[in-house]
Amino acid sequence: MFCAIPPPERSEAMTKQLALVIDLNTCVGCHACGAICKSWNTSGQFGPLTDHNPYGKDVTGVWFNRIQTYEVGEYPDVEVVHFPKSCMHCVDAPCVPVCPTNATYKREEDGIVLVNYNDCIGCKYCSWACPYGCREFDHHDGVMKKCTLCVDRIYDQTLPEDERVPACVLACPARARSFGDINDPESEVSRAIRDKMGYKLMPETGANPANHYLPRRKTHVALDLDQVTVKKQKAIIVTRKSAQEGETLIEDFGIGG
Amino acid sequence: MRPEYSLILLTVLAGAGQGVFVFLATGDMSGFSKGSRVPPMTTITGLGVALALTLAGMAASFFHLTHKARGIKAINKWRFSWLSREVVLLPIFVGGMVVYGLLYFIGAHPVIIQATGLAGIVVVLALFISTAMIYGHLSFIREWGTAYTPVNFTLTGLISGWVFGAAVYQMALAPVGATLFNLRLFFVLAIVGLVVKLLYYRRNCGLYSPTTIQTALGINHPKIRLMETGSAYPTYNTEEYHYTALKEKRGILKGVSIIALYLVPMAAMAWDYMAILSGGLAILAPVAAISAMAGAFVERWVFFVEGNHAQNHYYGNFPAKIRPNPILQSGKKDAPLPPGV
Repeated sequence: MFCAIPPPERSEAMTKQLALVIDLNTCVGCHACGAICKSWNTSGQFGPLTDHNPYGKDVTGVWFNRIQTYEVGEYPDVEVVHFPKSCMHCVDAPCVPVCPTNATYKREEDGIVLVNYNDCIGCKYCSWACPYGCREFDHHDGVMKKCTLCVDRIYDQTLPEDERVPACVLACPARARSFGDINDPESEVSRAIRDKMGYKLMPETGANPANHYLPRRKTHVALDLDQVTVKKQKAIIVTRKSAQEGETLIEDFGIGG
Repeated sequence: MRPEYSLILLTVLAGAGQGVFVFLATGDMSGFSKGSRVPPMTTITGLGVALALTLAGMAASFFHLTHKARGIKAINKWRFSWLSREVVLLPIFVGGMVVYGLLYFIGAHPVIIQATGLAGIVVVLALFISTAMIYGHLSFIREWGTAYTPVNFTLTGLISGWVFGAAVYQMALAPVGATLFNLRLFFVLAIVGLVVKLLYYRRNCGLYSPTTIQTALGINHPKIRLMETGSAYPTYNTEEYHYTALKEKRGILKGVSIIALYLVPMAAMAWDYMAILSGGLAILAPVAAISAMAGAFVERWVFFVEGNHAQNHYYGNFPAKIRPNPILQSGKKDAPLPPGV
């Protein structure tokens, strides 16, 4: 009785949501995605990502894509995980409703979250509201900047079709990054999320990020030890019969007969 | 979080201005009900103080913006953004104060004046909540994302404004009835404010955070150590969200703010209250006003620097004050279970 208004029905065809899928299993931590991001975007349509004191002691500047490195576990059971992180283009982006001027918006046609630099007043509220810390304030321009998912590349008809992807995806030498529509079940990214157990960061914050990460994977063979013994014995017996030089073969296998 | 001094000035000064307005409105209401109204010039003087405080806060807030000329655009999203609501309500409050003062000036009918005062109090409360909910709705900054935040902002603003109002009443020799009524209200506000503040500080000790380095990276391993941040120098991520100044002294600062904001004004106002009753000199309200303002600034500074942003997990800057198992905490009101539990 309290639900007087029925919730809106979701249409069968979900809207497009472009996103990156980053494979932590293959990322080698070379920082190429970050470097190409800076290079492309600083000379791209949206103006430079300014650096402060670039040749001085305390150099700082705007980056859309930063890579951290973590040590997981303790020696000898240890792994080094490289972790590239850029804007997640969240489905329920928390940065969008807080922006007082409507400068930050989420595009309906493809789900990319962008900032209109002409409307931004530089209050930094969106960067506080982003749980991932993926927005960076440009002190020179006085506006908040963020990953555009290379919106000036992916729709550029002058580029060859296979290059109409974000610069970081193109640059990754390990092919750890893929790009596509996560709402299209047949897309490369959707398949990767399904088949390789793609997950979202900080699900508890409710931001529902569009970018997904693929976990580290190891190839394990699960065998029952008893079964192994039995099969080996069988194999040995079979070999004996067929080869008729069983003794030699048994020694070759290293199993006492 | 790094404290933004323009925001500290805005919230403290405008909050005090709002408190002065509520003081004047309730003072005149009590005088009206008792038949000994506060002289119009006293209220107009008080409104001048409130206006000065609020405008000073608004001026400070402009220094927070890098593109000040576009500030007017900040009213665009009042339906969604608490910041936008604050920007809408602040001019309404200032305009309301001017109208309220004009009504006194032209000698309008008392009922109209009281009705305007009541409407102004509603605007003030909405403004307090809008200001506080800018921080209060950021649930993943656990120190801010609580109902204590709007309650604390409202009470702090009222208390610091109240002492300013009392100082104006003393200097303008307002009628005893209205002054005594407002002083009694002050003790209620100060005691409630003190209790809320102590509960709030107690809540923030050893706060449970549902976000951990494990959920931040999506790697289920108890031992995860940051090896490199990817930058040789401080970045926006390490400077904006993480502030270490006076880290060891923040407990002392909390004590200082409690003494300056609650205890000193309460003692000064108690002295004045007794002095009015016994016909002595009630002169300590300005002392209380200075002390309360200093306390409010310290309190707000501590509020800002104590906020721990969830993104600090990625940079190894999140303090290690973790409650072990959220299920064991389920009996506690302020420990929400992670989704799915």
